[in-house]
Amino acid sequence: MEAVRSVDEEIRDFLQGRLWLKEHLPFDAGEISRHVKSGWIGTLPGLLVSSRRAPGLRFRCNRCLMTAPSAFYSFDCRRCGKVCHYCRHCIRMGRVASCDELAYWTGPERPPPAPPVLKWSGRLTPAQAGASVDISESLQAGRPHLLHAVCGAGKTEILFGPVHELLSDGKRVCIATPRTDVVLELLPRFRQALGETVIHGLYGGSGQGDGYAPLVIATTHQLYRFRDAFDAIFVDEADAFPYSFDGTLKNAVTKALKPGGVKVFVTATPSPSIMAAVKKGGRTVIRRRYHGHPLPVPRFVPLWNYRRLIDSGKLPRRLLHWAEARLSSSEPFLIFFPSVRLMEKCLPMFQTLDSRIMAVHASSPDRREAVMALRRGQAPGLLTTTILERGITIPGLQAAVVGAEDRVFGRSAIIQIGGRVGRSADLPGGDIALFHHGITSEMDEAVREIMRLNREGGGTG
Amino acid sequence: MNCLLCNGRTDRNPSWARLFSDKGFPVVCEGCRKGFLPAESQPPLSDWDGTPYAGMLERAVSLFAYNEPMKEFLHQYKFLKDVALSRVFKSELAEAIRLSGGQAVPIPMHPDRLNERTFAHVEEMLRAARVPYADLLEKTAPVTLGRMNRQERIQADRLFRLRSGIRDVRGEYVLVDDLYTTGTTVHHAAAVLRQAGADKVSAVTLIRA
Repeated sequence: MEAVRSVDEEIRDFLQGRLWLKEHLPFDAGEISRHVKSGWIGTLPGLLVSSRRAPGLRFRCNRCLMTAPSAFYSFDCRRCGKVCHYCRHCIRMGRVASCDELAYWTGPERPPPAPPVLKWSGRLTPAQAGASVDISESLQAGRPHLLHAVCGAGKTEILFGPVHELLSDGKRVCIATPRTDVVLELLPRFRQALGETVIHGLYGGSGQGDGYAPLVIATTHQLYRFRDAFDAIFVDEADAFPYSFDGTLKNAVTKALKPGGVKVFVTATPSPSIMAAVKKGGRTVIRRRYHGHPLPVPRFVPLWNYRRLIDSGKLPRRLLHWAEARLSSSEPFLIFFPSVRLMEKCLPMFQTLDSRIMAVHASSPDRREAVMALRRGQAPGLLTTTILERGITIPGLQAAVVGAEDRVFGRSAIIQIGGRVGRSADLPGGDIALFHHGITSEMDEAVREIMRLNREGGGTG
Repeated sequence: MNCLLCNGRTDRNPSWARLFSDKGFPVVCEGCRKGFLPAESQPPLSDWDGTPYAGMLERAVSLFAYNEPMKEFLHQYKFLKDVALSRVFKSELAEAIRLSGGQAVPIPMHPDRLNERTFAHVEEMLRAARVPYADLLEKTAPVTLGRMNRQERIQADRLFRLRSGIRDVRGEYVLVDDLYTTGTTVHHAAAVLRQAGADKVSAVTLIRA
């Protein structure tokens, strides 16, 4: 075997565990082809093309594992002079066509880095500590695990211990979450807790991360670019859009896991499909928030025919009073709307109460600034779609839902929205008002589940 | 059928007419379509008065403004190489070329760039629009005008020549390109055609930048 040169090490560190478009590798093309010849870099065709089932071709993207025929497009490729095909599903990561190659590392593995020192010195509640031990046991046993913890249970702190143990054993770990906002929130906390450890934070627009990181905190989509990489993947908010919706993301988690690797699901609202995935695994339930106070229970407020009233340019009286009460006691608030259209109709009416009230939705460019403004108290409250239902922690926050009967406010959405309220130990209470035009079974179930968790959590903490 | 740009539904109201005619399948949803605005001004050909290229173009038409949705479109089409988007403006392009009257001639790419991009973006749009075209020109050097300022562009050396084997180009032509910025590209191309004997050359560009 050839001696390992420094450029080889650079390629190995970058590519180990990844699955990367060969022509986009940040290395000299000559070096890459030398490694392909020597067998240290393996390649896959960009797409798997099969014509087994007539008529027409069937495809699978070897990066995102998409197979839906509508995701593929064929064209006359002027590079190869043939008809080539490409995947539109993951095109934002650089187009994968049938004439492209995906590269992965097959050479000698990188020796694991020195065990990191856990610098986090906070204390876990007994419930958190128990969950931490449960997860470690499942990881040792190589079985999947579900951490079902209410919103505000302190899930991040629970993960420090198990992640640190894995890294100390020289294992590679990923924390995958559906939202960029959550990556940005977790990254500094883990960097602080784990000191020297190289941690990559990957999301759309983050850059690719230089070299090797034993810990990767990424949006679930970024796992398309990994293959047999991780000994353990923590799948955060596994019930949230788009993970629950886009089947390729589930496959991406499996593809990014090493054979024998372990999935740990972390969520406040497990769906039946997650329950099925951990059927043979471990499970921990935390019913109490870290500060020990019960979850605030949403209350139903009828708002009959609110759409007609809003269409005619008036805010329903009860909603108006709710907002005025928040403004006069200067409590920060979020008001959730089922659609951007309804929200934008209401925005000017709320702005006559206070001109600093803002509205955010998935494609608002100043989403992050608006949340910052709320956090700093520069905005008294925000109108929002369900985009802010998760991951936001603001002390003393109050929440209202307008049109709680709408389909978008399912059981888990209402539980998550309720989870924004009363998260800090100083202000553990708060109001969640579900303004509705009729109570749905989803609303009922959400409230019943919250009351059940409060009841069961009452004794044990 | 989902929108090529946002992947949302394109059509909420299926109808018999839509089922039986090929007009019925929009490739882009109404919301995305509304983002593209007509060009605010037409290319000012008088900018070229007093240069050797004055009068080379009979007329020039740009269809759309270079606003954010259009920049996003061009990024996905040319930079992310999403060839499927060649269909987005097929009917507008076909109509504009028909109104201009003449044989469509796409502005060519340099072979090196073509190899990198794997498709010729202007040709693909013409094919999607089902407009027959003649590949008369070739690019002499792999220069990109994007890096040059206005003065450099106007004074640039010749960018195009006739493809070898093509001699007789009498008749009327419509040059087709994606962007009209200063008009250097289409003027250079028009000059080549006119010097080879073309009677009339006009230009249709998708975007007025």
